[in-house]
Amino acid sequence: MDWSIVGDNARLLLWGTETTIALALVAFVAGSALGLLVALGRVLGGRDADLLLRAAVDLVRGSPLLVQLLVVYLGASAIGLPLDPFPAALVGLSINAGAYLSEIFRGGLASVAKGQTEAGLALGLPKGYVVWGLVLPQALPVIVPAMIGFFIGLLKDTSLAYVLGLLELTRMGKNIMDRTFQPFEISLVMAGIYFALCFPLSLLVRVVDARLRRSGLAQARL
Amino acid sequence: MAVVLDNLGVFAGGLALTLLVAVSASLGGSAVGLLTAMSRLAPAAPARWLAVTYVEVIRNTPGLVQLFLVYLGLPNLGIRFSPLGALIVALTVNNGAYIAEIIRGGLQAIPKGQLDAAAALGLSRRVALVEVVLPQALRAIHPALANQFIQTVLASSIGTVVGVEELTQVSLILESRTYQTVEILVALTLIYVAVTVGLAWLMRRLGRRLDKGYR
Repeated sequence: MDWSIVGDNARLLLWGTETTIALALVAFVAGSALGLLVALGRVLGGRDADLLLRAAVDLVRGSPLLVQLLVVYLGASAIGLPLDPFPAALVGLSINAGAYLSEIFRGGLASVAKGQTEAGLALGLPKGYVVWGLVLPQALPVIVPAMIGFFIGLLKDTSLAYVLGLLELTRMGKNIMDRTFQPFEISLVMAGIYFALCFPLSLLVRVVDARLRRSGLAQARL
Repeated sequence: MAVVLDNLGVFAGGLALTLLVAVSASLGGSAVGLLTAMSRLAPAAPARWLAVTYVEVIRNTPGLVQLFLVYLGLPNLGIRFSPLGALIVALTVNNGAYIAEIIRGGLQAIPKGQLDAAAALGLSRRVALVEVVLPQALRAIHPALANQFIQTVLASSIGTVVGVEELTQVSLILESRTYQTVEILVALTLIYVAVTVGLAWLMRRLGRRLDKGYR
C-alpha cells in the first residue's frame, strides 16, 4: 500500500471537498426556502394547491436523485438552455432537497397540537400569521434535528453530481484513481473525508435530540 | 413518444435487473442488519464496538464511494467482482447498516417485561429474543423496512456509474443512441415513480395483513 499518493494529491482532494461543501450548503439553503414555500402552500393554499404540490413532491420522492440530476443537465441542453454542471447540480439538488424538506416542515407543523391553531383563529389572528408566527416556532424542536439529519444526507448525495462530470470530492477522487491506479487508498481517503464531515453532524443530531427531549420542549404541545 | 413505445422491452429488461438488485440487496441487508442489531445487544464488548463502527461508517459515507471501494478498491486486495456483483455487495453492506438501526429501534420498543416473562418461563435468552421479541419487533418496524426497500430501488441507479445495465443505464444507452433525450428521461422518471408508488401500495397491503394476524 502506498499512502504517499494521498499527500501528493492533497490539494486536489481539498479542492473537491470545498466544492462538495459548497454544493451542499447552497442546495440546503435553496431547498429550505423551496421546501418552506411548498409546505406553507400545502397548508394554506387550499385543496387544489395541496393536490398539485403533493403530486410534485411525490414525483421527486419517487425517482432517484441521480436521474433528476440528469433530467436537469441533459434536459436543459435538449430544450436549448444548456447549463454548466455546477448550476445544473445545484438546481437538481435544490429541487430534490425542497421536496424532502417540505415533508419535514409539514410533519413539524402537524406535530403541534390543533388547539394552538384553533386558539389563534379564535383570537381573530389571520390564518397565515397563525401558521407562520404561532405554529411554526413551536414546531422548531421537531424540525431542526430533522433538518440537520437531512443535511447529512445532502452532503453524501452531492457525490451523485459525479455523473455530471462535476469535480466534487467523488469525481476528483475517481480522476486521481484513474491517473495513479491506486483506487484502494484513494477511495478509503475519500470515505474518510466524507466521514469526517458527516459524523460530527450525526453526533450533533443526537445531542440536540436528547437535549430537547430532556428540556421537555418536545412534549410541550398541549 | 415513439422511441419509448418502440423500446418497451429495453425498459422492461432494465427494470427487471433494477428489481433483482434491490431484492437481493434487501434480503442480504436484512441478514446483515439482523446480525448487526444482535451484536449491539451482545454481552461481549468487542462485538458491540464492531457493530457500532460498521453502522456509523456506512451511514456517514456516500453509497457511491462505497461502490467504488468495492468495485475498484477491493481488487487491490485480490477481491474481484463483476459490476453487477459489486453493486449488489455494496448495496447489501449499505442496507445492512440502515436495517440494523431499524431493527434496533424495533427491539428497543419492546417492553423489558417481555424478556423477564420469557426468563421466568425458563426460556433461554436466545429463544426469548428470536421467538418472543423479534416477532413483535417486526410488527413495529415493517413500515420502515418497506420504506428502506423503496429507497434501495432508487439507490440501485448508481449501478449506471459502473455500467450495470439496470433501468437508468439502459435508458442512458438508449438516449445516446437515439438523442430523444426528453422523451426517454420523462419515461425513465415516470417508470421509477410508478414502480415506487406501486411497491408502497403493495407493501401497505402486506403490512396490514401482518398486523391483522396479531389482533
